[in-house]
Amino acid sequence: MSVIIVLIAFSMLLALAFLVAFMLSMRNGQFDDTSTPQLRMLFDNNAPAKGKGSKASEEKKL
Amino acid sequence: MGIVVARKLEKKVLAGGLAVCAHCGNDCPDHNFAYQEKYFCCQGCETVYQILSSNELCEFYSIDQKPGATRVNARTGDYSHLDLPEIAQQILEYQDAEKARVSFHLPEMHCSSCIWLLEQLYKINPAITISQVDFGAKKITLLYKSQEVSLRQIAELLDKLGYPPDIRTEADQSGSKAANNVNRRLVMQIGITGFCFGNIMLFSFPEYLSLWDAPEESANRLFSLLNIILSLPVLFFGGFDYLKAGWKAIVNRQINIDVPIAIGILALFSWSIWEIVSQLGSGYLDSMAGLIFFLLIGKWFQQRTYDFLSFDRDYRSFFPLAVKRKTGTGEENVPIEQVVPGDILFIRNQDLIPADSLLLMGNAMVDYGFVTGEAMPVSASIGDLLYAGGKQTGGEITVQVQKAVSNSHLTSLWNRDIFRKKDEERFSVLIDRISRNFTFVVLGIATLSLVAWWVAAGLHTALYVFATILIVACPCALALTAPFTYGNSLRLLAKVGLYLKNGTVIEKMAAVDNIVLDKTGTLTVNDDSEVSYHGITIENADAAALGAVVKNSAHPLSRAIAKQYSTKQQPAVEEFKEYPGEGVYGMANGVEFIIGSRNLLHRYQVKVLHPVTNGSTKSYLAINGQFFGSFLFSNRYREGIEHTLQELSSQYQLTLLSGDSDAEEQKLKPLLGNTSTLLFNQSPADKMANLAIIQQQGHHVLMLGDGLNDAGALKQSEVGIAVADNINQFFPASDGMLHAQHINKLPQFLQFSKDNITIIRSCLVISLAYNVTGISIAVAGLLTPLIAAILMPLSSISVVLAVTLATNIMARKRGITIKS
Repeated sequence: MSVIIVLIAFSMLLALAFLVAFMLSMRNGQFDDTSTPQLRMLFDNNAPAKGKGSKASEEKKL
Repeated sequence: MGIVVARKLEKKVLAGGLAVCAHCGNDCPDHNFAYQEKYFCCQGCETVYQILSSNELCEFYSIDQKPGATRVNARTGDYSHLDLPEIAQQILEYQDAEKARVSFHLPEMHCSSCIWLLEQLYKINPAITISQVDFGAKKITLLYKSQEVSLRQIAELLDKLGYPPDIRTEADQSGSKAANNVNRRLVMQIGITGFCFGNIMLFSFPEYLSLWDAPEESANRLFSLLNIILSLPVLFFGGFDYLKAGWKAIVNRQINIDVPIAIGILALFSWSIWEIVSQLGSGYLDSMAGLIFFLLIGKWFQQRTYDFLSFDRDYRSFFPLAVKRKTGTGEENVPIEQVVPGDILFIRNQDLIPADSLLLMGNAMVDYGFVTGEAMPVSASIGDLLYAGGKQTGGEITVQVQKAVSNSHLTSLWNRDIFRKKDEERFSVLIDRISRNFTFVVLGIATLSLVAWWVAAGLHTALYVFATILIVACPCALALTAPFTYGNSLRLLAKVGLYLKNGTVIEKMAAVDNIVLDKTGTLTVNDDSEVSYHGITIENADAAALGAVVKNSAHPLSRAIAKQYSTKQQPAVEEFKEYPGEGVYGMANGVEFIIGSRNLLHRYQVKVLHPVTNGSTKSYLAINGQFFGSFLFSNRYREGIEHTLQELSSQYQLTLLSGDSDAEEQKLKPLLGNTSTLLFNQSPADKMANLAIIQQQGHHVLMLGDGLNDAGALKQSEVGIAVADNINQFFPASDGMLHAQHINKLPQFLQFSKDNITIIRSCLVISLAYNVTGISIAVAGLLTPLIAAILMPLSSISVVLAVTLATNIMARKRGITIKS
């Protein structure tokens, strides 16, 4: 039976760790804005097209 | 990418040979604004494009469709007052020697391109170190090096990019900040309660399945102990608000829904502890945690607010933060609160007059649209009193302040008691009334059973039955009905343009039997009037020339005429002269036009042959020195409003309170019904007083209005709904905001609010049935933990499902859905 007690103790510790993580992220304001991040993640990080090469290829497309 | 899209726009040339603006996508009226082979409709759009292209930010045009908002009518604001330390202090959120943080509300933010651009501000000005957008709240938070860039420069940059910040002082912002904190706490409560609830359920599983037998007693004890530990945060953190509210209600001797909830929670907790400690069983801690968890979810569901709307603004949000005051040597910016009678102020075009003042110098053409509802600017002569809230249109004027800002004709409205009273929000009066009776009945049954079992079977059994009845009777379903019904309805209504402050408003809407309407801006369209011409027929060529002449004037009447006579090919205007407050004189195509008042025509020796004698707004026309006829202006009513008013008048008593003249009484009376009352020339205070008179007769009033002149009446009414053409527009404090294009759905909205009450009533019957079943099982002494564990969440979930489904069905039936 003691094995259950050890397991329970470990599972509670693990669960508590997640709870603390949740509380910290809440306090940091991670849940304050839930609408912007979903749009922000769609942006490309690359800089806008530069130089003549890319411009020429784009003109070809048109 | 950006270049491709921009080029596509450029190639898209209209049939008339005119291009499409590369920034906003509107048609360009001419090719006057060109930059890097691209055409723009106006200077503003070109400026934005120049800034973006020189900073390699043209990707802006490739992220979303039509990201740029047109800048045709936008004027660059004056942010010089932000240099004043006392104003900057109010706006800044944080400040030290090097850095400062500020948040701006940007009403123009509308798409993902906006987010992208606003978060790249550091590329335009490196002194801005962090910029973060909250799209839902239309807010940007900036961290910047205060040594290198000033607050004013940042505001000017945002304005130049097409996002004029709506600057509010800290006092205005504190409301939203407090709401944010409340929301954070609630989510935290839900998180922690949910965590504990799940774990308690887990540890209770052996109990549900009756797995324990003697050798495993030690594990049983351990599980029960863990449950107690887990239930402590549920009770003292998650359930704290309910216990507190219940206690408060008892102290105030006002039994509401919080009382039976608090009693239920306490009974569950103390009975479970007693059972565990005295080793009688393992208690109902799972039910307690589940109950609080569902209650919190219900609260969260109803509490969702519209971050971008503020329902409690007063005139201060509309007035400027600072004004220009004359000093010995020049002028200075001064915060509006520090303006004292006797000060001399400079008011420029489109600026508001902040306090009742005397006109000292300049041509005053004051638009009192917000004070009286009258759309036409009024001209004033030197020495006239100008009222606070009027907007100067035309050149700069100099005025001397007569009264302090807060004591002026319009603003003194806010000094009244009704604006000081902070109304206590009960989320549902209906539920409170029912739960009052419910509480007494349950307490009665419990006490009777206690006495009966005590006599029959001793104290221990009696206490057990007493506690069980209180536990089972805990009105979980009762408490969940209203939040979920209203919460879902608020969401459905918001989709079709009616944004309500909270669920209570729906309940109040259902009780309304009297509707009070404002005319200008509510029933009619702002900034647009219907023009009719009476007189000698104007030939086509002359009509085109007339259109060209009046186009040069910015006066609303001229614009209305110009709209009527606008043609593709307009002749050049050879001569143009504007007489403020009187009219215009102009020459085009060799024809001479005089459009304006009788005085103006007389000045040019033209006799007005057919003067208009009724009270309506008019302008006379003379062509080549000969009297031609007159233009009559009337309000343009919103489309379909006649039908809506007829529909409303069949069910409600209608009253019209207008700040305008009674010129249109004959037209309105039949629309509003025979029993309606129409009152004209109403000042803001009159509107409020007349509304109070209706209320004293025992009526529940819904007020529909716009603008500051209705603010008093909106506040006084049971349900005050502001009508606005777009949700970014300023609207006064109210219970809700209605998108003007959906005003025709008002009868359906009102009907839907009544449906809501019906839904709640029928769900109360269901939940009472649950309670009755539960109580009978408990009174019989048959309630096992398993039945309790099933009954409690089952009743909650079924109620939640039932009301959500019912509100959706009713919304569809009433036509409150978006047409796709």
